[in-house]
Amino acid sequence: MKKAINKKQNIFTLVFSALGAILGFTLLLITLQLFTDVDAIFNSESDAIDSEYLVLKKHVSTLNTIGLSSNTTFDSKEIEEIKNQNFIKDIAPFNNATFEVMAVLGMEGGKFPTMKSLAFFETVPDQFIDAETKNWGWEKGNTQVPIILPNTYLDAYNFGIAQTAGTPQVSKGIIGAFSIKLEISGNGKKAIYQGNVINFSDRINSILVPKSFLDFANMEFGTPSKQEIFRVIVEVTDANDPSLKKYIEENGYETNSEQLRGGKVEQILRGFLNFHVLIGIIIILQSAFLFVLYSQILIQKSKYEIQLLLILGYKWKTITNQINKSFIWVFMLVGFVSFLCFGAVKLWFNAWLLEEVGMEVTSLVSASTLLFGLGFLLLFLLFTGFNISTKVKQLAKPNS
Amino acid sequence: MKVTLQNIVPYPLKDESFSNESIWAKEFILESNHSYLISSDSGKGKSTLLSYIYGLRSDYSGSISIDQEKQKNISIDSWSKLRTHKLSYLIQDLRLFNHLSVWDNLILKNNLTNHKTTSEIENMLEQFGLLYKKNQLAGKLSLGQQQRVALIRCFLQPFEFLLLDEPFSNIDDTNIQIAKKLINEECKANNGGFILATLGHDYEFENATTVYL
Repeated sequence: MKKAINKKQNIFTLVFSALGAILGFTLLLITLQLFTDVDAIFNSESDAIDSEYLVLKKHVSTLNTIGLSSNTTFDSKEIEEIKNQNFIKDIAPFNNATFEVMAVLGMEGGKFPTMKSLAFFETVPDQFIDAETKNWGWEKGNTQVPIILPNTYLDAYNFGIAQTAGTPQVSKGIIGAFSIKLEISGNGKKAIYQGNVINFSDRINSILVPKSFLDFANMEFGTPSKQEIFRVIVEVTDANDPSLKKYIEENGYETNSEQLRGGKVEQILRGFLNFHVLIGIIIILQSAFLFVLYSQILIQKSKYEIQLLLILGYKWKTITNQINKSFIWVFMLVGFVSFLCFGAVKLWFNAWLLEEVGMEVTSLVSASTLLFGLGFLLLFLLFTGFNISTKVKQLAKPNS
Repeated sequence: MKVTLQNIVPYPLKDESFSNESIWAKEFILESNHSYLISSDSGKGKSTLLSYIYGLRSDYSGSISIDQEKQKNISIDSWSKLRTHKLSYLIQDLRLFNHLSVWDNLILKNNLTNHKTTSEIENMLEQFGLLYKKNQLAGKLSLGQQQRVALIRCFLQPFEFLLLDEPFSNIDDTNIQIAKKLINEECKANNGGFILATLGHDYEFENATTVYL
């Protein structure tokens, strides 16, 4: 029976259909895999940069500087409103010092210079601090005050001051050996405390002290009524949430926008990948149509032979199976070659990522890509098979 | 097998008037323990009637039943069974696979039914003087030779009715006699009958009822 039907195969149509299918299928596989990889990359990145926390502040303009506009503070109503947004999980204000602090940094007998600078304290609730808060506490009477410094301060010293002043760089571990003398003054009083750097924070770009110390010092040396909220820290479910971004923009807030920029990059990349998927699907649909067209041409060309087999008593299912068998081979070849092409491109891409971006993607193919690819191939086969069986069945019906 | 025709009028003949002898537009029963010669001039629907019985066409008014089942209700799977076990058909235009050899053409049918042995098939080719053409492409044979191959193919299955559409139109008298002999033998072996469409020749078949259209 195979000999009876297969005499009129149009090789060119078959080859072009197969090439189209390979191209579309490879593109689809690559895009699907990129989706998985991008997901993995962004998920791990977001963990590293803690994109679930954002610091919100208001824009400081020239008008603020010359004293014509002063609205850079958050009032309780505004904080309540932010808290009620469904993408905000938690919010806390930065409580600030209303007294003067002079920090003197030095190391006994060392080769480090003594540095003296005006400083400024803030505090946030412990759950917002991304650092170990062991020994984080202060009681009245203590002369030692634990301090958490921003990582950027250490970087600024190591890569800025240390280079220009010709002093050695310091590690996080050694910083505890530094003594920071805190000269606090206000309300006509003065006091000296010993600051201990207990940790560094990536998230909060401010010198943090325990709340109990700040409250005490504000009462003692400052003016608690002057305490205003200039910054708030928020915990969000997804820093890349477009509605969060919209909310921030609409209300004229500013944030540590690196994370949002990351979100934007991700959004653009995903948009690009979506476009890729679309192209892949279009190509694969086109090749599906080519295959359907090819199967129809094959049936049309073999109409006499198929009808004759039906006249001889062959069942339409037997004939359909015979035609489908030849297509199964073609599809298996398409699948195999596509996976090979995909594997080659993916290996190259992984190597490129490692070399150019320094990003290591170890997976070659994810289970979801594999399953989706095989599923699509099966769907393709079923679609063509269904089309063939419909056509053969039509030929088997008596002319009425 | 019993084929019952009830007031059949093919759509292409609906504006024609039929003679009193014609079985069109009347009730008529064809039974497979008899043989029939369907005789008429050309264009009166001989091939049409055979293709109705074989399930290739259903463009008619009235009703045809095959063993009590309405022809129009028979499923395509049931037609396949009928065509391998109960109905055998020599179509007027022969319908051979021209790109296959004589032998492949015959085997294609016999593989479906396993009705004859290789030597039985070779024997029939031998009787028709075609054994030496066994491996030749069917398309390269003369029309008469093709008609004989197509006739042998009809014998490669069991049947109750053998439908023959002008089976001798291209073959000489000697071969007609061989064909008649084989037709009679196969009908007897299968305990069936034939329905033979002819332009008017009776071919001296014994015990065949002539029916007019």
